Amino acid sequence: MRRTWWTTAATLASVALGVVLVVAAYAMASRHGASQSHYHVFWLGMTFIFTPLVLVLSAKETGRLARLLASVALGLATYLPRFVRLHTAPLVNDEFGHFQQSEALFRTGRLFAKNSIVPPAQDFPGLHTLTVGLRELSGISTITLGAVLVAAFHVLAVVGIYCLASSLADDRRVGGLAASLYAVSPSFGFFDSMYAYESFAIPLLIWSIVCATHLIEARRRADRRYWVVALVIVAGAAVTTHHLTSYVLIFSLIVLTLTHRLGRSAWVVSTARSGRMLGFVALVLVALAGWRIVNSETDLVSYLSVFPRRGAAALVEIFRSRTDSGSSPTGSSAPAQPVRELFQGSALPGYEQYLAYLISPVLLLLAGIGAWTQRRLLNARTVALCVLGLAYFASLPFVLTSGGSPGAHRSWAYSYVGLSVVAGLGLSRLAESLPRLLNRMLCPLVIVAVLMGNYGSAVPDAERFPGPYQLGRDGRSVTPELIEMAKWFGAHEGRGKPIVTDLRTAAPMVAYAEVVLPRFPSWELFFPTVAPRSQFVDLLYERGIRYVVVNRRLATDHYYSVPYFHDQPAPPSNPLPLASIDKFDELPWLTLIYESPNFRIYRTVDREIGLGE
Amino acid sequence: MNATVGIPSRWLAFGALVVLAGVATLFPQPARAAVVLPLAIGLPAAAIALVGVAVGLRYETAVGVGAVCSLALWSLTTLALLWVGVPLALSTQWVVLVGLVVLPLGVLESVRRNR
Repeated sequence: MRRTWWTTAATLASVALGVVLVVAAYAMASRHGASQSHYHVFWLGMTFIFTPLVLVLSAKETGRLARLLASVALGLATYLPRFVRLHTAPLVNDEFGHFQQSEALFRTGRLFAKNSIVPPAQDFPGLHTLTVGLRELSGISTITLGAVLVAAFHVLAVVGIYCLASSLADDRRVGGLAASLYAVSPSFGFFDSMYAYESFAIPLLIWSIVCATHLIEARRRADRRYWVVALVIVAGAAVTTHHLTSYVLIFSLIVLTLTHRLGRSAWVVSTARSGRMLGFVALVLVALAGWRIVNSETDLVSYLSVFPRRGAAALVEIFRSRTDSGSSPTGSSAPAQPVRELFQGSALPGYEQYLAYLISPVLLLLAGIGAWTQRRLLNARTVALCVLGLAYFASLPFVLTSGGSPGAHRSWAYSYVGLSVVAGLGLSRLAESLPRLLNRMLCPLVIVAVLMGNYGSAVPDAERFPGPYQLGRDGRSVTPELIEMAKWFGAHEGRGKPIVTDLRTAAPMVAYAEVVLPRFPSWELFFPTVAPRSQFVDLLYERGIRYVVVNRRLATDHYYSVPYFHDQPAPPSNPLPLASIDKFDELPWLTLIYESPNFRIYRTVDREIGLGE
Repeated sequence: MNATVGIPSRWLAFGALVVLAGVATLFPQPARAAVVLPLAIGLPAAAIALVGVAVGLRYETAVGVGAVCSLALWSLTTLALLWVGVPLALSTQWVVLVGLVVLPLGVLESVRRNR
């Protein structure tokens, strides 16, 4: 009893100290972002949080309630950095899109409204309906509710993996280790901490798999009824929330059904009726997802296949250039660089970069041990999770390509569902084979190392920490000045107005002023250093666009990562010539209506006056 | 004996919490949000978890299924009501009626029968 009290007190003290250190790291980063000292304080804090929680989760003597509470704390801990980074406003591009979608739905009550920032969001309103329903009832703002919901999604995802692995191995310790491994997966800490549809869809996917695996094992009618109802509710919500997650879910259910059917006579102990029910649910989901694809305003097939196509093309090009000439594929003859230089110009500390290379072999080893120890207990659930986990290793070559790496990074939220369970089993078996002290230390050591490596491989410096302004870079390009301008526009000029501006100025304008971004060759206005050609001015009037929003930093700062405008040709220079921006003051068909140090809003004058020029 | 005594007391506790949730919608912020939000998610979650426990689930699994189903039901029912043209304010009242009153009472009745 006394020992339990001390363990609890020490765990709480360590976690509290860790939280203080993480908050301090963010305060340091916002004051002097150039040095790396905030990284060291950040990792010290995360180590203080994760080590005692993993110790609790991996100890044999831990009770059921303590293990569950530690899983909950782990889920919250993974959201802590993003919460401290910014939780009072959207931070990255996609968040602005989903924020705007929920705000518009709350105000108008109209589903499927167009979304200029994240076009598929208009067809998948699950997150937005959840938000507006709870907002209407509780009266709190979208952004605050978003932070509460994302914290809940994190807890649900970690507890879901804990339940999945515990029941699979019939061992809560394995469940705790699998939950720890999922909690440190690459996209969980930041990408899946956005207020965005996939953040809600991922716990729905995990719990759908929990329901499906229990359904397969259910022997009593009452159990089957419970699990099939739960599966229909959770999977139904997943299909209405996020495209990619619903396809991964359908794939997982089909694999489960097939392995169950094929292997039933040999090594699966379950009932045929459960399998038929699962197959039926999978078919209904296929029909629902197909219906969404057909009825979607967005071309989902093209949207989702961009990164795999680019990645595969780059891999083929790399392979060809190596076999044809034996020369480096990064040679200057290539029109676009297919190979991505990992950590080129990175601000990350060296230990994160080294660990990023190390974790894949470690995970392969752990997953191998896990699969090997389960070989005699092979069943439909294990096979389905192994297939999902293998997708992680299949995605690794794509990380080396410029076109395919974003797709590979996004796939890890799904492949880690299988990988964490199988590798968690392996980690548990490996730790059991070691002497007591090493056994105790191995689990937190591996988990913290995987956390560091995964952050190093998937969370860019700009997204993780505040720092100097960087034009066009997620996490660093939205300023209070920009948000103030967007709010001013919404308040003074009204909502739903069509505008022309660059992509990064557009996101907050859409979120706070609900502007519309019609198809228009914006570069024809912004790139020239003299007055734009009259045909494009005519087109501007024809499309009813009354506003041009100009970010002066286009001519003073280097533009990172993304193009200035959709479908643009190569810009004359980066940054643009100052004359490209200054010329707007001289154009007779524009009137300046708003000015701040870096932004200007112009309104077009009446057409009759413009024609006189 | 425990079951016959336990069910009505849980039934009453649910009823009291539903009334509290209803009254709390009149509170000023942040008290309104602090009371209403946990109850709006927690009551359906607890009801579904109770059924899970009744069919013999581990309690952590039952709690998890309850919580995730609660969020999923909020999302799906609001979506369905908005889709058929019910205004948001009215649809929320429907969800409250279904989520906070009918669902908990229905599942508690189901638990009682199962026992």
